[in-house]
Amino acid sequence: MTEQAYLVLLSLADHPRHGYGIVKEVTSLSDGAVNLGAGTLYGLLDRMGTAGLVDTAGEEVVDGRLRRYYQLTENGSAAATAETKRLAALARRARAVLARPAFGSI
Amino acid sequence: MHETGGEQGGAVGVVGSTTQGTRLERSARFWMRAYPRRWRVARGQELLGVLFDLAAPGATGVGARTAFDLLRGGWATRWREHPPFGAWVAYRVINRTLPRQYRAWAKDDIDGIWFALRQAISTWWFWFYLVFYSTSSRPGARALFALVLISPLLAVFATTFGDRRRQLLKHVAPQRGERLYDGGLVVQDGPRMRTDARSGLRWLAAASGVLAAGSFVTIAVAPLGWWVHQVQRGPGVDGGLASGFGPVVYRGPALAVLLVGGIAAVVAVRRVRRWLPLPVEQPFRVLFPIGLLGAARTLIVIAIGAVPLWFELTGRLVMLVSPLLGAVTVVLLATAVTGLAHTRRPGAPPVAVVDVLRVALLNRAPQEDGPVPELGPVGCSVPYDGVLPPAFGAPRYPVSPA
Repeated sequence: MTEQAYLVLLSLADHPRHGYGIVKEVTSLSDGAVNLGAGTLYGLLDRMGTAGLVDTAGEEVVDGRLRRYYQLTENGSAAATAETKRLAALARRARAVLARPAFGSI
Repeated sequence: MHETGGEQGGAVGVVGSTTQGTRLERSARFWMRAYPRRWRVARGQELLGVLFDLAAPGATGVGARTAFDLLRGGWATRWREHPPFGAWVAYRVINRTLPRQYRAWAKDDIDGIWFALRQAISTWWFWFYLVFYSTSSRPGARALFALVLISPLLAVFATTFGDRRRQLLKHVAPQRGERLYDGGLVVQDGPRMRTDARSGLRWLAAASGVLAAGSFVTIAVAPLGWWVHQVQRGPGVDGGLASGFGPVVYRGPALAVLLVGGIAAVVAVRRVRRWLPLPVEQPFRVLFPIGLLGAARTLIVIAIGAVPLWFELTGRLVMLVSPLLGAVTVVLLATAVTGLAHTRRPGAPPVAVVDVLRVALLNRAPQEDGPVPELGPVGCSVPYDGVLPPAFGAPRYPVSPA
């Protein structure tokens, strides 16, 4: 799973969001490091929809703009949890490696 | 449910009518064309909304980064949804039906304006003749090479409603036993599309008028010739046969052919006057004006007719085209003008070009068109696990997996 896909899944974890809402949440979650473009976002949503990770959750028109909401499916939620565990385990191992005393170069 | 279709017509005005909004929308729609048509119909309004949300205040177009992002996203979508290579080649070259999951792709392909061009350049004979004439040193090979090269473009203009309809029925229609769903496309009775005589005859009159005039001029002034064999005489030449164009006047027979055409034209006019006023109910017919495509077709027909006339007029080739074309176009011109005069009468029933031609050339009264099978959305709510029924008398089909 790419970092962008993971962030999109995370952005939908608490409640359904529309496209623009996902972009804002991803920027916030990544602390400004990831700014999704509209083309990238919809490529991710298409692939996740095909894989059964996200689903649509209604739509509304605000200021003449159509907003379609997306939510995580059970599979999507499980995938986000599994990826979080994997990253947490990786971070734990990384911390352990970095905590070892350095013996200089060979 | 909100209407999400109509991205072409703009069912939802995205930011009202401000100039800035309109320019931004135009720019966004331009770059969104990278996405397949079906995708834009389903998701275009939504993507447009996000693009507006993301745009900087006062922006009059999408930036370079966004444009690149849209191009990449659009083409990635096209690539993802494209049929596998083998299935695609079989579809193009031998017209084999694609697997079911690529039906939407096939519908976009068939509905596309360049469908006929894509089909034409996928045939083996196109490439065979292209290579053959590009390497040939025969006289006229260049002209034939150019003709082969532009033939796919001519195919675009030759595509009719019927061609697309038949292809859609073959490649997009669901099979018997398939699960149905609300709004899904099914085969149903549709109207026959016919060219409206009021606009079609005007173009027919113009085309036949131009070609008839061209034929008359050619017959009158062309340096007419005929294939002859002459015995060569002269110093060092001992009586061999040489073939070439000799000055054989055939204006007499040409005028006789034209006269036959003129008589046929009079007959055609009488038939149109007799049969056309008969009103015929046409519940399964839709008349459409000839439009830009039809006008372009007419110009192409004129150009195709004008080529042999030009050859004859300049004395390069004698094919006896001018008297024959003259006779045919005189009949068509008389038919078109009479038919046009008829349709312009107050209270005249609407007729199609085909009615007028059928009456004039075949002496048949206008007939009622029957319905034609076409693809359209299911007209009612489909119950859960609704299945396209098998044909009458056929064994019950198992439900195909969705």
